[in-house]
Amino acid sequence: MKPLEIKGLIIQYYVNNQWVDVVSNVDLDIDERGEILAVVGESGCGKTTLGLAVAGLLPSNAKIARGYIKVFDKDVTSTSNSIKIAMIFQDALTSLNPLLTVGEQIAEIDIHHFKMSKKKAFEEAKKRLAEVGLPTTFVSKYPHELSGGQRQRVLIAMAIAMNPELIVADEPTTALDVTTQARVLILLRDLVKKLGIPMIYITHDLALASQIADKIAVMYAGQIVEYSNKYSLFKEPKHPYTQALLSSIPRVDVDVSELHIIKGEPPTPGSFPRGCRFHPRCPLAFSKCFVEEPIPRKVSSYGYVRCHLYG
Amino acid sequence: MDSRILVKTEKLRKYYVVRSKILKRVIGYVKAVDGVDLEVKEGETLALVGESGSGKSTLGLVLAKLLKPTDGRYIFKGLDITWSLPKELRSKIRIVFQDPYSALNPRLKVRESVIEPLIVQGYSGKEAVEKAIEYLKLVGLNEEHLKVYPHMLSGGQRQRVVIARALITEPDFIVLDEPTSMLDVSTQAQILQLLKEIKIKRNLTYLFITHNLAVARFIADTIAVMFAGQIVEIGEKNNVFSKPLHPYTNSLISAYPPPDPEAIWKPEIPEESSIENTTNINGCRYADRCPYAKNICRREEPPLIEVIKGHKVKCHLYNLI
Repeated sequence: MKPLEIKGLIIQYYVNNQWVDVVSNVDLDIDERGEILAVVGESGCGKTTLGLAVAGLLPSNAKIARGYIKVFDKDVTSTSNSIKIAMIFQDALTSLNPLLTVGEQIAEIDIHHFKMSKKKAFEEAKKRLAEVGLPTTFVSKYPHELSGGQRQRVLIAMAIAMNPELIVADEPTTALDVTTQARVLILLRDLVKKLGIPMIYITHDLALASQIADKIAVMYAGQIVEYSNKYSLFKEPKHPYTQALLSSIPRVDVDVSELHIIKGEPPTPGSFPRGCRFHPRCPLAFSKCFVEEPIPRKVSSYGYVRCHLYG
Repeated sequence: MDSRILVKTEKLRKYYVVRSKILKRVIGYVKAVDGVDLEVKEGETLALVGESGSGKSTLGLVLAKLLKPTDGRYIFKGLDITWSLPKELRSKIRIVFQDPYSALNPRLKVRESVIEPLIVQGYSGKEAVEKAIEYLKLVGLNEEHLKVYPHMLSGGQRQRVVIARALITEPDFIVLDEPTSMLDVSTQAQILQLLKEIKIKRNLTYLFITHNLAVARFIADTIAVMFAGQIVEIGEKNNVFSKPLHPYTNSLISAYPPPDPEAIWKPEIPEESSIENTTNINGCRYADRCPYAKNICRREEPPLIEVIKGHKVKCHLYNLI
């Protein structure tokens, strides 16, 4: 029983009187508890939509057109299954209720999910706060009294409080300063590992993914173009897009005098190119790439690459 | 050597007044920029790095002449322009903002936005359009883009338009305030590379404000690290990155994850504390967060000491750490 299994997933949005593919034919999985899968891509590639679908939070104008998402063998789209999935969003301030104290918001989860008494739930809330490195006195504070990093920690505490089967984290630290980001991320990674909760981590930052995740899926124009464990992805990136991305990030640890440029801009849903979706920007594109969409090809025990160069 | 210095500030300060809620009495100041001495040489890119609230954007606005300082001196091309800017220098200092979505008027076509600074200078419409085409080409766009509205462009293209508009008056000095932080990785690489090339072609001088040290390391010659309104470390980029002298610089650098799963990421970050309220601090501003802080740090403000040529640090303990 895998913690997460996504097969042949197609998600469409209803825009301008037609259904448009936003996520196409995605296969992903998490093999064991505590494993972290990073989905990396630029804006508009469909990574947030994918995360929302896993969490069962797609907006009303979106639908899963094909394929399935299973968490511990339970289909997330079926209403008869009760699956506990926690989602951590980017913006901590809008994710918290400004009128309730931090303690009330964390305790609420225990009261509703576990039918705990109010008093006991507050005691639990204090424990949760300590777990994420906040003083227990914070139970009586309101969200506006906290800094961005502290709010994000509260969200993590809430995510863990419900004892979820899966966590979906969508760029939880992009709004934070780098030093705060580092602290919050390491906390999240270590907690998830310690408690054995599988997690999908959605980000645009490959460097962060290399430090947080076990496996990385690179997403482009609604598809996963490469999927592998992080070591082989960084050592031997297969897909031209992954290769280009890796050489286009400025680095803090070494001096780079020139950045690799990927020409053009990523396509938007509804206007994905024919053939390989990356071909208009690919330096290695050949005739086949213009007409035929590549299928995912296995490159290691579980990873795959979607590119004609490999088959 | 002095002739090569384009921008120079002396004890530049910008305080924002904090007033009480009802009676509007002055109850304090936010020292957004507090005594900055800076020199930017001709043709140099100085990256100003720091976290939010450090005062880097305020300093940028003061240097772009969009905000009057509270005190200090601002010398541009040897002229004191602290309190007034001679007409002929107005076109020589330009600024590019972070958000290309709000920097362009959505009701104006690219043509109108780009030629506006020239019309203000008294160019005829025809001359201005010719020049606009030249500058759009310089930033990788073309004539066709004159006719479109901003909403028809992508974020990267908009930022190119904003850069073209800044360049069209042939400035000497451009303040770039986080010009790529809202862009995607691949677009960011394009814009950074473009800015680097244009700088050499047009003999420009940049003040590049960013919170991203990796971007700073790529674009800059000199790095200035700002904390709580002050420059705490400044030096040639390779010196600053390979041998940071200030504990704050060190913690900033260590916070960046290396893009390499085999490298170990070990951020050295002291516990969180607020840097916003810095009204009544006598000693080093970083002392509350600094893991090495001694008594002297809380008592006395450290001077900016030149440790090796061109590499300065504002720390009492730089040679003990």
